[in-house]
Amino acid sequence: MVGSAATEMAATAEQGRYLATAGNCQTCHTRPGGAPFAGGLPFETPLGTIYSSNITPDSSTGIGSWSAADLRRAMQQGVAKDGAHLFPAFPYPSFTKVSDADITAIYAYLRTVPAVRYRPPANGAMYAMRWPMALWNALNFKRGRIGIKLAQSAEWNRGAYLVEGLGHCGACHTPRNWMFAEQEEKALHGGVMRAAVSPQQQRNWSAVDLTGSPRGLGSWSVAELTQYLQTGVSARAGSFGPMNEVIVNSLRSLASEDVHAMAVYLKSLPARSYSNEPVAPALAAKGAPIYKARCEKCHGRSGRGGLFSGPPLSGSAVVQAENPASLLNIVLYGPETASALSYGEWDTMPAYRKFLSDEQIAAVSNYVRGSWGNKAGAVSPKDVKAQR
Amino acid sequence: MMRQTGMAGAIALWALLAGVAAAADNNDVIDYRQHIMNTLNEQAAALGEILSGAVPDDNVIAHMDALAITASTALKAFEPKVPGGQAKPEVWSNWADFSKRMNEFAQGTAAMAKLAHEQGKDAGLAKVMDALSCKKCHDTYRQEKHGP
Repeated sequence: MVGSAATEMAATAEQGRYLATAGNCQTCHTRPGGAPFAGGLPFETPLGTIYSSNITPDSSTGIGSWSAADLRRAMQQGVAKDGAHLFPAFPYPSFTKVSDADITAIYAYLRTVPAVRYRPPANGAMYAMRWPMALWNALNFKRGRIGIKLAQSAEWNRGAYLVEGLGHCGACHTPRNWMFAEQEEKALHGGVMRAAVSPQQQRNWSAVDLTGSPRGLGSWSVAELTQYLQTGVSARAGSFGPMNEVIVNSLRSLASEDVHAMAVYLKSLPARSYSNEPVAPALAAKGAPIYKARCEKCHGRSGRGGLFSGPPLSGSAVVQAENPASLLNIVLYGPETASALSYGEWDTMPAYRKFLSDEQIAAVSNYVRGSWGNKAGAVSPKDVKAQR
Repeated sequence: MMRQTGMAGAIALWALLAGVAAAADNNDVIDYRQHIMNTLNEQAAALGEILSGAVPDDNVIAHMDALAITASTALKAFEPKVPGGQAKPEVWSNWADFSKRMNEFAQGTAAMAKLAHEQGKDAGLAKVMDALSCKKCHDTYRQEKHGP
């Protein structure tokens, strides 16, 4: 029996709302204090600042005049209705993998969002020209829906579809080349990005290696990863920084089966290799007294943390990340936790930027990066200074 | 004769201590309640080590007893209205709520220990995260440490 057209549209819009949550559209397309989906969030890049667009159904400043086909072209090809190329701050290289039906549903949902007349600020001068994107796309962008892998389970395929498509995890967790394109062959090996810590200030962060390496998710179980994605906390780690809004605004609202599927997929990723020299034991040892005085009480002599104190550092992906930006951010500023998430009985970690020098923070970072089986490379006082 | 000397000695000792007590100041009040809170922290951390499987669980019940006894001393330690240390002024401005929660904490830890004595370690352990939900009070009543 076929329902009325209105009921069908409502059902499609509802499905689209779910998919838009999976894609976390609202987070990037809303500026602080701004109307939902009206855009204007700044993205600082080496070439200048670009702003997210208004995707409410407003006819002059939003996408009110767009058809579903127009939205598909934007998401799957990175081309706007007027033919202008979009910049890959909009992760169309991920969204190209999303199905036509899902984008149509998202379109139906966006039509129901209140229309807001708001024109985001103009992008930086370097971004006034769009034509170089044609060349960029030719070199870096491969269009196309994600293929089903018949050898894998339905759940694995669902997880792959969500992680690689709407989830666009690679937009942060995949390293980029000099043209700022995700390096496909290093998918989810860990990345770096710049994100706002306040409406006025942005900071560099690193996103962890999501592969099965001991420096990535190797020590995690599917259950722990599922719990982390749904709640922001597992015995292994707590969410902090830019990952907070992924969990709060997107993942925690998704169906358990979908989050579990994403965890299954992520845990299937083969371990990446690392070519760096691990921190030399002599260098790591310099941080031992600092660790003993400042860190050991909560993180333990063996870096295993404690239920009533803090997360483990041994086997931690954050501690062992190739780029130490996020680790240094935690030590300098304390972990920026999400008020919407519950971190169990862990204590609040202090911020050490006023108490420890660049040399001291580098020393203790080297200690944790090279102890208890951790094999990350050394950091320098300059790395610490760069994060202040 | 010896007994009298012993008695005199004891009285003298108490008199001395009483003299010292009279000279005690607010810092001691803060130190006292801080010691109690530190003990709760340390015993909970020890229990945490057991829960994470890092050490054997032979003394689980003893730790629960320690927590219950210490928890029972906590409320009284906050009765003197001495702001400072990590105690927020809300402890006393919201005394009805603070004392209610502290009593619940003492009762919860006592119940957990009792259960463990009566039905074994595992029965007690099932109650651990409920009994030891420290953050619930700390978020409201403890001043976050700003130092390292």
